[in-house]
Amino acid sequence: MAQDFGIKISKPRYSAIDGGDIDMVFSSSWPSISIAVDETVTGPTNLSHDLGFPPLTFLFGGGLRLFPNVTKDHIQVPSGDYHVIAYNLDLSVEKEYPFVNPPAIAGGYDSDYGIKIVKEGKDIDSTDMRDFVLHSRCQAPQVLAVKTETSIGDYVRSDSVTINNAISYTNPQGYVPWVFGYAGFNPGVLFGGIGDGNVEYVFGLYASQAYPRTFIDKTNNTAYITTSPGNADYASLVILRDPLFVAAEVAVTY
Amino acid sequence: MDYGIKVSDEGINALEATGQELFLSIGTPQAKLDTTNSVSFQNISITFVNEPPDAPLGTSVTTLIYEFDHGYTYKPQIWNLVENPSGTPFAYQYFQEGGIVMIGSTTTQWATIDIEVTASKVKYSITKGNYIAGTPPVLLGSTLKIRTYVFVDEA
Repeated sequence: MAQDFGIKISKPRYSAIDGGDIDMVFSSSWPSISIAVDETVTGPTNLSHDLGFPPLTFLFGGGLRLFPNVTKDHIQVPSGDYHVIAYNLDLSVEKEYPFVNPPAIAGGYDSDYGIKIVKEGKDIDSTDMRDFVLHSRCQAPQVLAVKTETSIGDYVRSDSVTINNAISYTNPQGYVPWVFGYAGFNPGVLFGGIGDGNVEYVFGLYASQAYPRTFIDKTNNTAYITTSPGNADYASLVILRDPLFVAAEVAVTY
Repeated sequence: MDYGIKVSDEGINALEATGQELFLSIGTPQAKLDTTNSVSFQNISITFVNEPPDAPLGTSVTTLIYEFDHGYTYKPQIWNLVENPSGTPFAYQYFQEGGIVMIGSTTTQWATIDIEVTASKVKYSITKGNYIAGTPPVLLGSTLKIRTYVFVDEA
């Protein structure tokens, strides 16, 4: 992921010039997800956006996270009050970034140095992280890959069954990333969709009984999405990885 | 915006780059997990050494099995990736947010994991439903593995 340009902030005692990604608290070359649409909306409505591409979008309402239909111009919001978060991530364009092994030990943040950019009208000395566009105390999930219909093909599962019309992505060894699968339909195909004349992307639930559906084949270390054969015109598999800090391992019993 | 920092992809003029051609722009705030908040990124294993209560026929019953304080005074955005102990590689092995984790002798006896965020806590519950006479789902001895993110940003 390292590049010869941009901004890098290293952890204490590490070199920003020579250090690897896990030695940094921030690097502008990390494909961290950023928020392009942040609105509170009462549905049902088709929320307009001006991104020009179908974005990875979540709805938060009642504490739940939902996955709405999207086009390059609209986000479909169902009935109710929702916080709409659309990321600066185009479902329709292939991308792939190298996997960086996560750090093995915790630590790294030092309040005496780093980088922070405050939102307009907020105090640079605020301790509320919501006030910042960027703060080296915080990290974001990162993009590993976006695979689209240009990668469609047959996928041979670990039980030797061949799945036709699948888009698959083999995960880094021993690592299960976040996977978001979508099928894209040409205008006029979907009943009750956005209907704005653009290709409409529909989320593929995990292991759903209905198409489109998304799976993780853990034995093969592969994620894949299947769409109804001959039905979807486009499809997309978005793979995100964890941020580069150590997870807390929590073991509890009930 | 007329001020701030932009870092564009290689070969692209940062002044003219579109949003998705920028690695960094103050116009699009980063999603934020606070590295100093120990609950912001967790791999949680919940092992059942007791069986959550079964539901009487024709009802469902919800039992809180784990919760933690997230450290904010508002409902934050959370993401959950659940590895299902009863799933196969091709049926419900992973899902995001809530979902069915075990069924009984028929699909009308089921157990789901339900994950809720409040203004102070993240709560994990098992709901068991029992709608046709049969054997209820058994979670005793199994382990649910859940990756949870708690973002700084409000839900």
